[in-house]
Amino acid sequence: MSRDGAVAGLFLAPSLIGFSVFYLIPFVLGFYQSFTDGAIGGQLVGFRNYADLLHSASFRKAAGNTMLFTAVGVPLLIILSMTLAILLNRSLYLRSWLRTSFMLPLVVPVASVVTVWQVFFDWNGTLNAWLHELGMARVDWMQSNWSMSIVVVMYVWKNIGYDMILLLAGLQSIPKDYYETASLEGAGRFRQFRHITVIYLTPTLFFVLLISIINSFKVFRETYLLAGDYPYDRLYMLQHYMNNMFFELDVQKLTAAATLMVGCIVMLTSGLLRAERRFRENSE
Amino acid sequence: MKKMGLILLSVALVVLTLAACSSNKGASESDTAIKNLGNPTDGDEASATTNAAADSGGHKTIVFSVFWPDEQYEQAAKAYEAAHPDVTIKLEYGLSEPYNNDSSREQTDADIEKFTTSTNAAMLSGKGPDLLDLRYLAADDYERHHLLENLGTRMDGDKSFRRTDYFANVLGGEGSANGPFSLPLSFSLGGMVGDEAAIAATGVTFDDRTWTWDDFMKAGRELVAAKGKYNAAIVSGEGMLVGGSDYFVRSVVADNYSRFVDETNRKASFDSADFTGLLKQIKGMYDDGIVGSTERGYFTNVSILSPEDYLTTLNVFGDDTTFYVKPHADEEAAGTSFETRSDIGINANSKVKDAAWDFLKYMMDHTTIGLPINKERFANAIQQLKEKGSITPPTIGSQHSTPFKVDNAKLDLLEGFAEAASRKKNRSGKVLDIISANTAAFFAGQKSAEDVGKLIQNKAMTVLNE
Repeated sequence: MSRDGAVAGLFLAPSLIGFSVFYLIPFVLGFYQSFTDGAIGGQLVGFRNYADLLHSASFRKAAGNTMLFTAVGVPLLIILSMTLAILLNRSLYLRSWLRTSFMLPLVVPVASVVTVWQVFFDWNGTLNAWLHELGMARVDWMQSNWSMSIVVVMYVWKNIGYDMILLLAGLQSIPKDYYETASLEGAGRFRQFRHITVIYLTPTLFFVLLISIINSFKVFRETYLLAGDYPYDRLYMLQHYMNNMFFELDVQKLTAAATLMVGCIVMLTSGLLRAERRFRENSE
Repeated sequence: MKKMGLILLSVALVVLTLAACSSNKGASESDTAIKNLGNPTDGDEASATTNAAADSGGHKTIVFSVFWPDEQYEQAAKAYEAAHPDVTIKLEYGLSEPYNNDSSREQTDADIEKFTTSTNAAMLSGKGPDLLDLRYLAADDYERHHLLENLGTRMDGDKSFRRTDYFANVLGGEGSANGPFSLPLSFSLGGMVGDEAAIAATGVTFDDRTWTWDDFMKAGRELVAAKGKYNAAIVSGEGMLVGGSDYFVRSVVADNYSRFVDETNRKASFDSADFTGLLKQIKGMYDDGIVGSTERGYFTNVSILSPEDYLTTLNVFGDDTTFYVKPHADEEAAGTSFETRSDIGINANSKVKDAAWDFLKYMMDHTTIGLPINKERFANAIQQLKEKGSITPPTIGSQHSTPFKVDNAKLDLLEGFAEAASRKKNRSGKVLDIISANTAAFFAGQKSAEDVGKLIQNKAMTVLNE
């Protein structure tokens, strides 16, 4: 048994080493940095960096924006991808083509797509030109509260295909007999959906939810390419803050912010995983 | 048994990789240590002892990091080494390959990025060069993180250093605990070249030594109304080049920066009527034709880089031209606006700070390029130009260049402008970038000044509150 363990450890070693060298050790070092002052050698200053961080109005704004984005974007994404998955689960005209087309955003490089979005939503861009033609006042899409909606749309567009595939797989693993039995017993469409589809899809849903939340934290790349390092303040996310701190050499604030963010994500995911476990125990 | 061997083999491989990694790191660390100490024969253990001794005696190496290869620094280093045999100056350049006309902009940009990130990392970890030319580097951030030596205390503590030898305002930070953290070797003056004869013909009078932007706009309006030689009062842009509204906004707002940004309390007031008023004023200057963008005007914005450049610039714009001081904001003292060049700082964690300071002083006293910060060198440069008697301007493209005589009377005025240098132009900065990026829609007439002001305020507050 112990020898098996050793062998397992050995096979895990390469990925473990890689993970440690590139993620774990830097993060632990950063975690330590967040408790020191900026000087070389570095004295421990306790939670002062965290206090400074929480005093920074820009950090609070960034955290609020990130939370708002996740709170709006993730449910929207899941509802839409669920709808799509259910629609595409039936026999539909051009079904396989449609499925492929929803996957495309995943494959297309972000930078090229962002350019198109930029041209479309710019103050002097396509959308405003159309509005102008129609005799309406133009809107500064990227420099107003609209900007977050645009990034939400972009996030949904980018991730919908992936979530849809996951949900489709979940849907197809539900045995057809359940539905047959239910319809024989006189259950309507909605009842079938609520008591069969939703229940048996829940484990997949948990996973999709988790992935979507994590992806929502990654939307920075698109936002940064779309609006630069100082976007309209509705769009100013945690990663903008960290990115700017990096360029200002403020390692302390940067690492403190990263630690807080990791703490939040860990709490969120562990909560979700616990909920999933409880659900599974209940359903068995 | 065979299995065991495999396991052993892979363990050995993993250990080997790790060892290779760590030994690599060790080597690069000792590399930098050697670089800093200039003692290539010593091993790791020996360097620890020389570390402490380096500042007190023995051979010293000063690592001087500059982005652009620079003849001026090369010469200074050579001359200094000749006079001080115990010191070696090692110049390190950021540019990866010699610059020529074929060098691509992307390559230079990539080099700049690499230069800044690697210097940042080295500085933050307490290493890095001993002396730095701060061009492209985040001097303010270095200063905030105490990575640069306070040259104010250096200047005060050094008996052999006399502030009066230099242009005091350009030097900056009179006897204060907070700076300056960098010293310039030379500077340039900002102002306008005006057609004196044409202005005199219109009968408009003003005093450029004390004028504010308001005075300037008033004078500009009168000049345009007089319908004299030119249609516009000023052409925005450096030299003959035509700049957009962007340039003008930047310089006007930069001059008024402290009115709108309170750095200590981290507050901006770009949504105030003050700022929108200023924007409207600038736009008014365009609308009234005071600022032209295509033709010549009574004035042209210029930067004076050297005594020779001063005369050449005046000559290019005609015979009866004079240098005028740039208007200033109401609140600040009148004077010539200037920009420092070749700003040099000393790494606060350098082992050879005293030697670096001595070399920096040497460079300040021996720089003859541009407008030197040392008054004696400045006077020498002017004297030399007078003795030379004539200037042949460099040929630019197809532009015809004929030698012209040095005008001693005009040249004598230059020192007065340099003495009056009082306003440091702060052209960089994120807030200024935000302003120039967001005002374009206003000048194009697409947005109201209030909307633009709010937008700038929105972003400026984000910057200030980080």
